[in-house]
Parts: sequence; structure tokens; C-alpha cells
Amino acid sequence: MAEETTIPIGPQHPSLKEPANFELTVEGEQITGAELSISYNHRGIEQAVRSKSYLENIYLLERICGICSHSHTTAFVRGVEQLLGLSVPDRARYVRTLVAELERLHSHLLWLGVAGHEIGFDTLWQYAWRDREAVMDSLEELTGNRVHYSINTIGGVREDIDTETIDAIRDRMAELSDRIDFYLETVPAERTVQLRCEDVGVVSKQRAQELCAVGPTARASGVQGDVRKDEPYAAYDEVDFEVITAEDGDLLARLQVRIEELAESVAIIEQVLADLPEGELKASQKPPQALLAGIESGDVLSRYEAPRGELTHFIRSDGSDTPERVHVRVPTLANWPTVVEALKGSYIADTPIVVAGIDPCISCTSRIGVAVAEDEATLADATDSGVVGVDESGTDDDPGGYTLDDLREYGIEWYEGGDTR
Amino acid sequence: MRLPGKLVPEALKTLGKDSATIRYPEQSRSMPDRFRGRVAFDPDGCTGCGMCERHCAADAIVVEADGSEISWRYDESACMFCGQCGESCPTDVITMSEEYDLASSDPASFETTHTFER
Repeated sequence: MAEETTIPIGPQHPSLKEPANFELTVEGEQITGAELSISYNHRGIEQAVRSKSYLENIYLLERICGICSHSHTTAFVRGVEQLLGLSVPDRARYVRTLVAELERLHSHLLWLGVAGHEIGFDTLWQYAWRDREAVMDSLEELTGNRVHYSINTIGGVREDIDTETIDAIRDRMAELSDRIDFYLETVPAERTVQLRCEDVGVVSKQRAQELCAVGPTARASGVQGDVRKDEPYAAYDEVDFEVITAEDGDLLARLQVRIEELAESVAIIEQVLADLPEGELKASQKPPQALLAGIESGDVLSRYEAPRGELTHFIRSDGSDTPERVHVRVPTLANWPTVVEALKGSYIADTPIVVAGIDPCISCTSRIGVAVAEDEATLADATDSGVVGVDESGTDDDPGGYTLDDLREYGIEWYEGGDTR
Repeated sequence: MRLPGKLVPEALKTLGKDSATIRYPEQSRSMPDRFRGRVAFDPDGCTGCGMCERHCAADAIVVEADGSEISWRYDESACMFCGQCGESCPTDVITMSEEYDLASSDPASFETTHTFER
């Protein structure tokens, strides 16, 4: 038996150009164990949110991710609309659905290209990214920007869609539809793809469920789960679509699921364009600050099916125009444990594609929640009442957790080399 | 190659296609109507209400009213081009222009200030 060795992969560029670290235990070429470290790129967005009004936060939260920016704004504004008791006009719901599906298209096409690149099939990468441009052009014409669309606002959308844009999107979707058929026929049948993806990075249905996987990653393992069906938002209860699943749970299944989802997205877009209702774009013509003056205090949890899976935004309002707390759980965080699972048994050379297999948005995930108490006494009260989590080392005398002074000390020690990482 | 009948024609078709990219900066592309570039401000009509400043998530706009004089300051290096200022402006004096070539090595060039009578 070969000697067991530990090798680090990352944090620089483990597969995508974002930081995550894997400690792989290997026997020869085969991975026997993996440990994951994330949060190298903490950006403090959740703290920043607390200093901005709900309106400004739309644009701040949009910048969590450069790929699923519409996902974040929709999840957030839906929560705020719930707090305000606003009902979004039909036309705005349809426009939101349209942008959401265009976003899913460009995200999945981007991933298809990245997956091609990771397995050394750069032709697929070039094809997919060229086709993606048609979607990016549609988004740019519709919203004014390729990446941060800024089309959502509290109570509706900011831009209408005219017949010229509808026709242009329709034409592009017809062309894209042919391209998707081409991918469906060629990609899973291609020898390079099969050799690199079949039976690689397998996650069984049971493990996917136990590890709480979401989105295409879970669906490729046979888990039926899609927020668009389970808890429809925007116009998803009025359009027909299938939740695509596969049984094998390997990389080929994830590839297949994502390509088939492209076809579903095109079908949804065609329905949205055909059934677009007339009417207002915003629930209220009041200026935003007047609207926000009437916000109720309370908690809401908003769920959204982002291209990578279920995204949740938790919003706590204290009745002012600034949220007291916003917590974001991105789908990649839910899918990370499946990567550790999938790496076990794979070869070292498969690491990049196995990591890329969940379509990770690594920096979007870097978000830690630290509850800080002003002093030891408040900390003890808070931990007793269960308001904050208690670390496992906590005892009756020392309840665990951190005060601000503890955190400061920890930070100084860390940077002075107490920790060699 | 499992499907030469599919992949070879595709490769040949791609050979005949134009390049998808353009020779920037010699050539530049045209922007769609809704493109949000550098903020354009017309002091004529501004009431100094400060809504643009209040709704700017990037704190790129500062409006100061001193007696009868209003000073409107915009920092394009802080701006994130969301267009909310234009939407919030009650007199529509803020619009998003088509200008996007904004890189500069002179920090002072990012600042625009308009000072005018109320």
C-alpha cells in the first residue's frame, strides 16, 4: 500500500480564480480524505448593509455576486416588500422572471465553458462563451448593463420592456435553442467529456440529502428541489417548466442537468414574453423614502432559486429605514460539503473539475457571523438565553463566545504569527 | 470524437465566423439606450433637495446648500453606476450618459463640482 500523504490545493486558484483551500489526503494518485477551508475573502457586506437604507442596500447586495446579481436583489426586495405589505404588479413579476431566467442562462453557459476548460476541452469553452454573449446582449439592452442589472426596486422593477427588445430576445432565444440542442447531443456523448466526467465526483442521493445540497448539484443526484416549484415567487406559478433531475450524481449528471436547464430557461423566457401582462411597473408611486417610512418591524426570510441553488436572505427590521440585520446564505455554502464528499475516491487530477462541478461562487460564500457582546455579563446572558451560539468549549464559568476585547486580542495574536497559516 | 458528423461541420462553420471581439481602443462599440455610464448633471433646474445624495449607496454625490448657493459634487471613481440618483431626482436634471472610458491616472479628474445659485 502506498504511503499516505497530505497535499494542499489552494487557497490560490484551486480551480476557479477565487480562494479556497483543500487539504487532500492521498494514497498514490487517489484522494482518501479532504478538508476544506473557506472564507479567505471576507468582505464585510453584512456589516455594511447595516449602515445603508433598504434602497441603497439593493445596490450593495447586488454586488455580492457578479453572476447572480439579480438573484440577490430579488431575494432582498421580496423580503422588504413582505415587510412593507406591498404587492408587486403582474408586469413587474414577469420582468423579474425574465431577467432571472436570462441570468440562469448566462450563468449555466458560463459554467459549461468553465467545465470544458477544466477538463481540457477548450473548444467547448469557446463555443459556450460565444453563445453566452447573445444572452449578455439581451440583458444589456433590457436593463442597461451586462452584469449588475439594477432592474429591481422596492415594489417592482425600474425598466419596462418594449416590443423591439421582446423581438430581439425572441430571435436570440430561437438561435440559442438550436445551440442548446447541439450541446445536448454532442457534449454528453463526447469522448473527452465522458472520460473526465463519468463516474467522477459521485454524490449519492442519500448523501446529497444528508449534506443539504441545493440547486443543480442536488438535482444531479436525484433530489427533487427547486424553490421555483416549492415556493413560487415572481411569475413562476404561472409558467410551465420541468424540474430537471438526474440519477447518477456524477459530473456528467451535473453537466446534463445544467444543459437541460438551459432549455427549460429558454422555454420559460418564451412563455414570459408571450404572456407579458400590461400594467404598472411599481406597486406604489410614492418616493422610496416615503414608502420606507411605513416599514414594520419584524423578521422575514426570503427564498430564491439562484442558478446555483437555493439562496436565502434573512432580514430583520426594527422599523427604521435601515435594516437591523441582513444575513445571506448563498447556495455555494450549502454545496461545499458535497465537494468534500465528491473528492474522496477521485484522483488528484480531478480536483479542479470536481471543485468546479458545483459551480462555486467562492467569494460570495465568505461571510461569517460573529455575535459580539459588550462585556462578559451580557455575553453570559446572551449565551444562556440562546441568542448567540455557544462554542463547544464553553463551560458554566466561561460560557464561550467572544466579547469585543476577546476578538481584538485574537486578531492581534493571529497577525503576530500566533497562527502560522 | 464520437460524433464527427456534428462536430466537424460546427468547426468549419466557426472558421467562417467573424471575430467576436473588436480592436479596442481603436474601435469602440455602441452602447444600448439604457446603458448607464458617467452621471451627467445639469445645474439648471436643480433645487438642491439632496435626494441624489441620500439615495446614493456609494456616497459618490455630495450636495451642500449654503444660503442661496448650492454646490453639487460627484466623484466618478466612487460611483457604481446604478442610476438611482437619476431615478430619485424630482426635477430630472441627473441622467446617465454613454461615457464609459473613464480610466485616468489623475485622481483629480474624477471629481466634478457644480456651484450655482439656488
